[in-house]
Amino acid sequence: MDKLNTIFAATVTREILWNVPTWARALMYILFLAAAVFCVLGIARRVRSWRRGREAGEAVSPGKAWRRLWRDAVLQVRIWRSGAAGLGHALVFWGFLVLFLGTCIVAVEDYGSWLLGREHLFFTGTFYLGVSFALEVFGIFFLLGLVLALSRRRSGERLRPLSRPVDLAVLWLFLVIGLSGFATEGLRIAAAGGGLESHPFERWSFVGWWLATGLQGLEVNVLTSLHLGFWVGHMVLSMVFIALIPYCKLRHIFFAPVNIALREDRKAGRYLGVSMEEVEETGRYGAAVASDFTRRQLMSFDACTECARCQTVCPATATGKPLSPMKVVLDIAGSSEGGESLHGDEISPDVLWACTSCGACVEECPVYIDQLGAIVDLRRHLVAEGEIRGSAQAALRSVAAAGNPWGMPREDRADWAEGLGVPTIDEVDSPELLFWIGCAGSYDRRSRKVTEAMVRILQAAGVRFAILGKGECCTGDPARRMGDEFTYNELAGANIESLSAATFERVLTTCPHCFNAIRNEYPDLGGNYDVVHHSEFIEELLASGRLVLEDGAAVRGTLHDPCYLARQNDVVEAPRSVLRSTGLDVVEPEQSGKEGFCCGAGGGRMWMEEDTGERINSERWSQLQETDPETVAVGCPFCMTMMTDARDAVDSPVEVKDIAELVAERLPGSPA
Amino acid sequence: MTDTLIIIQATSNELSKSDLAAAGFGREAAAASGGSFDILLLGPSAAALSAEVAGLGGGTVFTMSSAELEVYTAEAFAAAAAAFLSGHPYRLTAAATSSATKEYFPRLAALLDVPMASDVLKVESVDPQKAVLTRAVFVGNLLATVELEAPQALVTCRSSEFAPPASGGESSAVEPVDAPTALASPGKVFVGLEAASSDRPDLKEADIIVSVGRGTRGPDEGIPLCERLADVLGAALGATRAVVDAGWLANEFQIGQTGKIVAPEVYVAIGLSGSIQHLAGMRNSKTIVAINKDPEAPIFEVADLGLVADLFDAVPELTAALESRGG
Amino acid sequence: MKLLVTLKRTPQRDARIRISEEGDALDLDNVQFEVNPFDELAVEEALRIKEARGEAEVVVVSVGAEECEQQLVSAMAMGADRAVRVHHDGELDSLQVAKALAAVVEREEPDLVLSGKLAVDDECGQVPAMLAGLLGWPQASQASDIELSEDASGATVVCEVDAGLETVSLALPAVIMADLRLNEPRYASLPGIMKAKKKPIATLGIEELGDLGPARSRVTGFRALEDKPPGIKVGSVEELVQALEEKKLI
Ligand SMILES: Cc1cc2nc3c(=O)[nH]c(=O)nc-3n(C[C@H](O)[C@H](O)[C@H](O)COP(=O)(O)OP(=O)(O)OC[C@H]3O[C@@H](n4cnc5c(N)ncnc54)[C@H](O)[C@@H]3O)c2cc1C
Ligand SMILES: Cc1cc2nc3c(=O)[nH]c(=O)nc-3n(C[C@H](O)[C@H](O)[C@H](O)COP(=O)(O)OP(=O)(O)OC[C@H]3O[C@@H](n4cnc5c(N)ncnc54)[C@H](O)[C@@H]3O)c2cc1C
Ligand code: SF4
Ligand code: SF4
Repeated sequence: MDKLNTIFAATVTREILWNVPTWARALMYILFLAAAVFCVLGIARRVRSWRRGREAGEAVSPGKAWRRLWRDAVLQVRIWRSGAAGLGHALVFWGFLVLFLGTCIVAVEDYGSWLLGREHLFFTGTFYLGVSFALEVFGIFFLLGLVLALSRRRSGERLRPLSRPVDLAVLWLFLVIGLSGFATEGLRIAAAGGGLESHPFERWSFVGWWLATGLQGLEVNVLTSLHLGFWVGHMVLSMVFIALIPYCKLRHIFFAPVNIALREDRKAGRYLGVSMEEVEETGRYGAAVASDFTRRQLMSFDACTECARCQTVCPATATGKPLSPMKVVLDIAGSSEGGESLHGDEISPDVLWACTSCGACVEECPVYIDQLGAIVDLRRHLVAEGEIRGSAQAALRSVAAAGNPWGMPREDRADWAEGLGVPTIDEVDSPELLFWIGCAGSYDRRSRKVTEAMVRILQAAGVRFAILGKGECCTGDPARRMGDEFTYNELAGANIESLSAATFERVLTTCPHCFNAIRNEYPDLGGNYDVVHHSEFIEELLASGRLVLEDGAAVRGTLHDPCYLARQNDVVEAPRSVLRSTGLDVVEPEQSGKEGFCCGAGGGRMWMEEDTGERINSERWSQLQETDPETVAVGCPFCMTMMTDARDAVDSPVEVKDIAELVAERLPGSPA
Repeated sequence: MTDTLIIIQATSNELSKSDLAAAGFGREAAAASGGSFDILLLGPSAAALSAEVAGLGGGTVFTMSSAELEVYTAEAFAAAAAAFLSGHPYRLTAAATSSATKEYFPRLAALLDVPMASDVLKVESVDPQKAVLTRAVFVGNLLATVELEAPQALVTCRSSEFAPPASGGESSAVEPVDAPTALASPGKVFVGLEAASSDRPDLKEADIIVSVGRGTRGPDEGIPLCERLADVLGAALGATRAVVDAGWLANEFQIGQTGKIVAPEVYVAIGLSGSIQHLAGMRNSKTIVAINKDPEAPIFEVADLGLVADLFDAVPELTAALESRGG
Repeated sequence: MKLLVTLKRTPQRDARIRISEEGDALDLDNVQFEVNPFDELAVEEALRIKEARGEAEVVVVSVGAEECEQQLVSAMAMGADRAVRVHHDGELDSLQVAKALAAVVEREEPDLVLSGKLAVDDECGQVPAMLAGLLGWPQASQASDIELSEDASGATVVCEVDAGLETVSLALPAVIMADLRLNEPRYASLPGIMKAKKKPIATLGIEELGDLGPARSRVTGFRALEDKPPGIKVGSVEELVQALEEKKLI
């Protein structure tokens, strides 16, 4: 054989199932069979429950699926983002993976050699030592990860209100399996073949070796019976674990990789449309029962690891609203085998209307679950039932009837432009820009100042631009976020018609909600435009030298990232770079960029009263105040309202200004 | 020729302003047709009120009451008036617009098979076959000229538009008439009345609203001043969300996109900036008055009358001025 | 039981209404229409009664030209079961409309008629009470609460009257008119809209309904209230009081 075997007196390997009598082996096979059946049946039940869902969406190419698996399942890239918890999970996962592979190697060796009638296959010599060593290392990883996870739960970290007793039980189960594994090994090394001296190479199993040296004093028969005891314990618990997988959050072991690989590619800001023909045919709109979701959605809910990351970042949960995105996911998964209505005390209208559609949950979920998409589908059902009342209903009626959510007259939409020398699209031949004003920018007197500032900037830079004027109407964003696809389609359709009748190069918006809708959602309805947010466009103007700003005193400030800009559309750097060129010294708050905290206005919340818990805008305002700013910069009309209101509620002297206003103040010749 | 009849509901022992205004309508209609007007007092207090009504310048004052007219129901009143009118045909029969005439006058029109015009603002002309009247439509945004082409017609009139006739002329004759029997429709029973509280009017119904913003600095400073003003104006009190959030006034006072939507005749905005969320709830008010110390406040862009002033000076001054007018 | 709701098509409530150049008609070309808001409350109430009783048919009726089928569809999208349209293209006065509706009621024999208290365009507030008078049924106006008796033989209604809240009890059949506080109408749902397209609308010729008599009430002209003058700033409280007095506001 191998050189090593001659160095050591004995063959460098171990006897598989040493000291395990026939009854125990039989028990193992019986339990394994039972556990496997239990497990497979459980998985089959889940898979069957998915198949009750609707078929929709595009398939994922195999290459892409494998790349995704490699990145996020094997390398755990997405999990790493969450610090200690990420480390903990990666350790447990890798530990588990290697221990599992080790067990597979042992099994193949055992059955393979038996089948082929050979004494050994490959589990000897260097290979044996290498595998043993690796198992020790990863076994330690496994235990370390578990200890980390347990201690985080022990320390009662604030953000895990939904961490349930079963979660702890699962961690303890793992810990006991891991420890009993090492104990079994130590006892085997101590007792087998007459003691340590008979197999010095087992030093490579350094944990087992270390345990075995400690056990030296005990008699061999004590050691062997202890070994058998631990072996049986380890084996039984492992079988319990296998049987349990599909029935608790452990099922993510199977389903998370599946979801990671096969999930649909969609930004959180681009909702899955509803075909009116389908609604007409089936009478079904939105999710009333689990089977109203798509198969892929149902599959994704089973991937949930119950890590609660989504709820940790959810501004609604954080401010005491009844919504937890994790709970919504679990509630749906919990009812996917039955046909009962999802709506009730658990998923109540208050829960669903609390969502600001900020997308933080989607961004955060390590296994790519689209909680927001689920909430929107559930909201659609509320809309289908006519269960949208009060000010939210009034806003929907107003967007449908008047083209803006406040019910302001259509004819007044372009009143702001009077006397500013702003041409409408029929007055300019193929302008460079179509300046999309948006409802707030048109009617809200505070936001009009932002529109006006932007006009000054465009004029100073000599940009040829035009507006749609009275032909513009609400993009449909509020209707869509609130679950009213019908109104959304009508509005979006009308806008696409107006936009497509005009010639221009790009669309400019100062509202990230308009930006998101036109850029990400209008293409699904056949409207393809090159859309820029004003922060990006100003950055371009500055970079190309078309716009030059005057220097001025530096001001300490901070930026509140709009969710629909930073998170939903990855525009993070542009506003910062523009702000810096206005002399604003941008101090980052703890939560910023793609991890920013919502202002509270998205998802139609702008038109609903917020009377439970803390106000989201006030919470955000205090977060921003930790940077001790003189100016809070915003890039969205809704954030503007929310931050101004939060400021005024505490009577603070801090200024709230839009990026465009700060730029316009530095235009040559403007009053400071 | 007496060709106009004014019906006054006599279910309480006092004449209201609108009853007097109805008499004013009678005088205008009579003048337009070159005739005079009579009055029918309907209800248990008919006799008690007759002396006073006799001084309103009408021809004859008829009084009608019976057990079935003891409490007002649309069914009984319409039937009683129909019975009277079938014996005494009038060119025009009118009453002041009220919650009662809104319901029993159209019913009466159906019983008599005659046309009707509601809530009339002005009498243009009255000929034997045609009465031309002006009324407001589309939430008072437009005036419409309505022609009632029939020898008999019904009208309700808006009391604010007709001045009570100068009293003191010759006293009219009072003539009791019998009420028809078996009036009350068996189908309707009056159960009870919960009187409106005598406090400020309800926000949604009020003709005048005094609305307060953050500038009032709360219940220990500006709000009581505004409440005094509201009382003097007989106005309801409203507020911005800022005021409600600060706990200065209860939720039900909030006007705006997530509060109440109102459209009074006069909206007095005090110390509020006029955010779009607030405008969404009050921009359809007929006349908007704003008092704010910031001349740039957006509320001035929608205000019909703006006063740039410190509310702590202006509001007490305004209250005093209105009080001294004897309003 | 059968509930009949009368419904008028009216211009959208925020729409600006202009007068034609001749001054004798309204320019409604670019105006969107909706169900008269008070009728929407009546439809909602009928649906709630249906839901509470578990069984009832809700029929919506409108007198008007073809366009008003859109509003009948809206009501059916909310949940009404079927619609009847009395076809008439042109002007009718309130009493004629009431007579047409009375003829429909006689055919349909509902247990209760629900109407809005007022149509927000012409603002006569006459049709339902006229209908009650023509039918000889009891009526309750400006209802803010309606409670049907168990056996649906009567209703207790709270009405908003000038003096406060009046409670009356009615024997059915009756006509009840909805006021603002009666309820909050549901949002016509998307599947509802789809379903509504398949629900039946029966059309009756107005001549089938017997003699409605001549139109004796005609609108001959419109005038806009003087265009609201642009807002002004006054210099003092005194000037403010003066201006208010001039506008007859105090
Ligand atoms: C989801 C949402 C819903 C909302 N819904 C509503 C709503 O329904 N209704 C509503 O009102 N708001 C609503 N808001 C709030 C709205 O955005 C504004 O914050 C609010 O209307 C401001 O109230 P204000 O005008 O009283 O306060 P401010 O905007 O602070 O205005 C105070 C004004 O008082 C003036 N002032 C100060 N001192 C004096 C003085 N001594 N004399 C005279 N003037 C003085 C100041 O010049 C200033 O113009 C909502 C906001 C959100 C986010
Ligand atoms: C400017 C203008 C002024 C008018 N003035 C008068 C007038 O003074 N006298 C007069 O007799 N006519 C008048 N008319 C005609 C009258 O408006 C119509 O006959 C109308 O159909 C009934 O009146 P309304 O819209 O005011 O309804 P209202 O009586 O206010 O309506 C109350 C309820 O009746 C029901 N209803 C009303 N119309 C219909 C309908 N077409 N179909 C089904 N249900 C209905 C609805 O439920 C509604 O909520 C006027 C018309 C105009 C355009
Ligand atoms: S989108 Fe935002 S508010 Fe909605 S559930 Fe997710 S994190 Fe919470
Ligand atoms: S949905 Fe995603 S983020 Fe939320 S608990 Fe489940 S796995 Fe974690």
